[in-house]
Amino acid sequence: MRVATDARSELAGLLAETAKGDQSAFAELYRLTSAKLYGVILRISRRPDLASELLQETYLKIWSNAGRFDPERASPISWMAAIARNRAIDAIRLQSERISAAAEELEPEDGPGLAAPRHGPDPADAMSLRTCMEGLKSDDRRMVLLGYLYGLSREELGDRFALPVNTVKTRLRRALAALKGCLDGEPA
Amino acid sequence: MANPPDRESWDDGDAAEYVLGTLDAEERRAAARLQADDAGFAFAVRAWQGRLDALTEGLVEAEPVDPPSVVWPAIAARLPGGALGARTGAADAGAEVIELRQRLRYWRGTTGIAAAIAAMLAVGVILPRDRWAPEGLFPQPPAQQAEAPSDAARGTYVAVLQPGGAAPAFVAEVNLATNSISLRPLRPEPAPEGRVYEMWVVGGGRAAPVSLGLLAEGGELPLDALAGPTDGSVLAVSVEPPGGSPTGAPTGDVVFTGELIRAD
Repeated sequence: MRVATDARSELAGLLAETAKGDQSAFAELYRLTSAKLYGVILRISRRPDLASELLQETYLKIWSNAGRFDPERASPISWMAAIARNRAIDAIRLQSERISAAAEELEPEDGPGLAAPRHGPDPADAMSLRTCMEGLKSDDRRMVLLGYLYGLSREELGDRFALPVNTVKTRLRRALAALKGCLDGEPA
Repeated sequence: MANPPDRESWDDGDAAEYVLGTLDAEERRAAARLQADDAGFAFAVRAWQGRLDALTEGLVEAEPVDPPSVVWPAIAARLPGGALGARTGAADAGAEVIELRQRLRYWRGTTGIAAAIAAMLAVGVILPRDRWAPEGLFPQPPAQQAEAPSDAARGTYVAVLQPGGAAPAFVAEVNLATNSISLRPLRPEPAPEGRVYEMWVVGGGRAAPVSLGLLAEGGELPLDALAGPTDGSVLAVSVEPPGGSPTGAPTGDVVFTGELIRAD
């Protein structure tokens, strides 16, 4: 964990400098993280033609919001990735229709979300989410993962699972409520 | 989220699905409004972000992809002071770039100035003639006589092309009325021996860099490839073998980049 911890504190330091308007710290932050965020944006948006622009907007938002980063609440990279993910989902939900094709080769059972928790900011958190995810029904778990990791909408999930959109909504909410109960309650 | 117009109601599932990303467009807009206006909803969203945070960690480690090399210059150009050029002690030239940007912003916000006038000001006022480096490498473009442009075709964009962190090398002016790009050399470095400069446009919704032609062929390029320039498009210059890139994509180092800024 030493390497991950060092990387985390380095990114946190660069974010703190960025918050003070240090552009060279911001440039270094970009150098260290842009491939990860670009990967997130490509995966969620599935729009290579938009991804460069979304990455620009993501980093400009990181630049202006760096002061709001709270190292007590999130790791630097997941805070930044949340901005990238949010921007990409905005783009595909609010602005444009998307080619809804790529879902075929996805195997979320083995997806990155359930990878070994060594990357997590706190292995215990990752482990408990993993444990709680495993407590979900298989299809419910896959819906949550496909939504989170690949940006699928209810409609796309409905197509994939041959379910009406309203049923998808019901099942997503049931799954999320179960996750909440598991995570916030007694450790399983 | 069916509710009285004055106060939107919500439940925790709305916050959860907002974070998950599965709300439809209308619900997502409503959730974004709620997040700004309703502290309780904002708190619920933060809680869900925390619960699913471990998934984010997996997401970012999954498939890193190096972004195109022009993205950072485009970001840096939008930071306070135009970033790179302003930070490096490229003194007078950097100051000119900043002033150019400020004036462009002013013009963008000013109505009733004809495109041709704005274009003339953009280059003529800011950049002293004696800096146009009248060497033979890049012939001076002919003075532009903008024929009365149709309203649809009206528009002028300017990009200051600079190598990372150093003085600007060219000012490119894109004139939709005359369908041309003019290049004003400032302090151009000649292309390396046996190589040529090729100009590209990227971003602005394009899937990949689109070649605009070889700079060595003249100070003016046709505009055919630059369909619909928008804010966010970036001009880039790469070093290529004689005749230009053999692949249709930049193959050599990208030596100059500059964001296109609307000048009218």
